[in-house]
Amino acid sequence: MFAGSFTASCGQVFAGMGYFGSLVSTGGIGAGARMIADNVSNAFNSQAHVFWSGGETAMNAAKNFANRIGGKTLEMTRLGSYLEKINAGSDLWRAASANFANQSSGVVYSIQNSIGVRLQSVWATVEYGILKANPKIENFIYRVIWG
Amino acid sequence: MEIKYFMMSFRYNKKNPSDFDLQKSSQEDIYVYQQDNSLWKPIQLYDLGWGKENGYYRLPMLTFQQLFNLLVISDNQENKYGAAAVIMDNYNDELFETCIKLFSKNINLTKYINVFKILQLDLPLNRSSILNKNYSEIEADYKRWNGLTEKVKSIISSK
Repeated sequence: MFAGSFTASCGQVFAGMGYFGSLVSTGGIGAGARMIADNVSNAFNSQAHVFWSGGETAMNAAKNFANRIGGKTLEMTRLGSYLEKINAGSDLWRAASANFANQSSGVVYSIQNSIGVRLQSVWATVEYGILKANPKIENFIYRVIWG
Repeated sequence: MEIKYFMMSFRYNKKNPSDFDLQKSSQEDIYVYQQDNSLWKPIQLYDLGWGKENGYYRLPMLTFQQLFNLLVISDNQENKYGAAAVIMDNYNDELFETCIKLFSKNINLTKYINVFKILQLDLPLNRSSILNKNYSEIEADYKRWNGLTEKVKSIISSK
């Protein structure tokens, strides 16, 4: 039982290694190390992942919601906090988003602004496709906020 | 040093006027840039993938042609993305005409590839207003924008 769980957890950590290269090449070893730490922690203590799209209002609502349900947004991970601290560029955030989606399991939440989701949003172009192909996802729950 | 016409956040890393080195003026919704005493107004700017960013523009707002020139020649990312955001929100008809004029000139358009990409002209979207238009008018608008997108895609792929 433990061996099986350990193997599955290692598999989950290394499933994210595909994003490691793009993170390290643009964000340095600091970003890569935090990504691995997040993935290891996620493998053994999985919290619901909360995604957001549609501006600062959606970002703040997602953070509040994640705090309420004991989940986390990308910005609440070690990697996310680090990227905020270094003012990381789009490519790094996109790679981090891809890893965050890839590391999700069970129920995931998506907080979206009522103005709609733009075709070129990170949710539409990066996160949704990975989550949809992720066999560990059991359900998506969408929440629409006004603002 | 290039003049700043736009200031914007990146993924909401700036929010308050003071984050942009701006101070409230005596007029409502107008702020003073402390480095040169210029006047600025808040505006929602380019969506980098997470939603529109917080930003400010220098008063007076530039005209379409000035915005387009700024987008083409500026090395400052905030000026570039700021100009693009205002064009995409307010000047789609002018943008269409400018692109058609550019295509008709016998010049190398590869230097505009980044501009086309920032303006997302490689996506076949009807950017014209649909208010008070019937189905066939909207379809005609879509077709002309799609034609422009096809041309942009061919320029991008020719590089």
